[in-house]
Amino acid sequence: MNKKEIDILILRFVSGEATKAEAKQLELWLSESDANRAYFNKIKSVWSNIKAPEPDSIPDFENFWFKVDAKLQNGTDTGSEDILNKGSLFSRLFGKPVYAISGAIGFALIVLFTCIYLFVFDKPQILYYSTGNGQKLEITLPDGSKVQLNADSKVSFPERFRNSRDISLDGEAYFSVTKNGSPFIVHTQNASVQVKGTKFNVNARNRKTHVMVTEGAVLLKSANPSNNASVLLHAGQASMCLNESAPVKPVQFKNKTIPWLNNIFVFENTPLKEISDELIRHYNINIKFADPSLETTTLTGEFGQQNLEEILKTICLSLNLKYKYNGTGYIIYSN
Amino acid sequence: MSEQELITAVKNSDAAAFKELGKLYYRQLYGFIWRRIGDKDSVEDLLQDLFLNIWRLRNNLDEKRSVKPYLFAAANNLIKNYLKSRSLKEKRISELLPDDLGTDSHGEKELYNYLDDVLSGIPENQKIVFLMNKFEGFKYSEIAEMLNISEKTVESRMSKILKTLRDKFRSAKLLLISLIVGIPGIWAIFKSGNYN
Repeated sequence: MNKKEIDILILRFVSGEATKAEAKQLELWLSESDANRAYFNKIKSVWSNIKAPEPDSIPDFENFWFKVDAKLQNGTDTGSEDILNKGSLFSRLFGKPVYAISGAIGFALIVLFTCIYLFVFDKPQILYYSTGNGQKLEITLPDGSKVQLNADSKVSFPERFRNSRDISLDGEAYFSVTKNGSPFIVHTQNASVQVKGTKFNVNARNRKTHVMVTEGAVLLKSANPSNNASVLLHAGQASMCLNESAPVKPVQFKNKTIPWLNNIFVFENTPLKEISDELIRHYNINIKFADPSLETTTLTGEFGQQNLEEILKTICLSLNLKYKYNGTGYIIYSN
Repeated sequence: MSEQELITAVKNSDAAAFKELGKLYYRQLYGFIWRRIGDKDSVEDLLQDLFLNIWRLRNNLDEKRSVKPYLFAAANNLIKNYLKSRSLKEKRISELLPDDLGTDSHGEKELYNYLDDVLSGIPENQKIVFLMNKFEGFKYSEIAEMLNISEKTVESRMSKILKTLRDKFRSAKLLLISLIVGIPGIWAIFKSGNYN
């Protein structure tokens, strides 16, 4: 055996993968010389001395799952029935009907479909992408759809789509979905947005999912399984789900394009806290309020492609407030 | 319920079944994430994220396949994303060990420092294979499934790491440790039948 083959054999042995035949092979090789035995020992001792570090304590599972469960209760409904594999071609082929096909034809078909299955329906991993404050990201999905991810947002999806295209979103993203027949569903903490092929924006933060459609149509529903109401949104319409409630009636929105894609902010009776959160996400600079009661003051206005100071200046001017920079961030206070 | 039945139930939005599934793999997944990241609070956050995502994307579960490689692959991607988005490096093994290792500690600490050096120098795809086998106890076949590669590839990556370990293994002190541990060890192995 050459050096490489020996290495692989020894490795298989020490890692517990070796078969009886391989162990015998190794035994034989070891009996050949002292040098062989010394070599093996060296590897064996290094290998067995490496032990996985263990954390000194692991949180109790029940406590851990309690937190997971709380978020699961708003578990995302999977939408229409055809998403579930029950009706899929693949499960019917591998279920009972296969036995009805007889002889060589049957065998050939099984081989053929196994190949197709392995090739097409391969085990998808879940991929994760996220942005921090001040970051944006454009991602192409396995089906060619594009996702523009806004700041402080997370998205995940399988490496390969099967019968449906499922995306998980926390934060904000703009989707351009390719039409390929299978349902495209965005799952947020408290809602799901299902489309066929279209362009739309989803803002899902703090248990509020807000959807704006710029092209095509989407179906918005709550993730709450006991709440089946859904709202169909066409281009130019927006709606939202707050916590466990059903989606609200669609409203028209006037902007033809989604504001954040062009670095524009649109606020409509928006509380200052929300405004400052959005500014922090975009500019990655801290903004605080001297007096917490200021956070609920609302503002209506549009800010386009300005730097942060200009925006703060305008906000303070309209609300008779002042701001100052203290080295680590901005503070807004009453005049 | 068998694992296969659990998966089917989870796909049917059975939250209780999902909890059962979580219970089966909680400890292992926690250990896996902790060994890469080290910070317990982040580990718990990531593990929560993992389960929530698996739930949201449950349409993609496949009862015909083992769920373990799928869970660990998802965890692996989550970890990679977490480290990348915070510009962090994986925890060195020596950083994970408790400060007081007992009387044999000096030899062990040196071994782990040496291992850390080796691991930091090898390609990611080799390192993950090694970690999954040595630390997480995955068989080659499970690693192959998790990373979507062949068993032969797993084998060849493992042997490359071994070569790297061996090539750097020249310190006399470590050689001494190995001689002390090794010689009685070799006969014990054959006696115990440590093979499949």
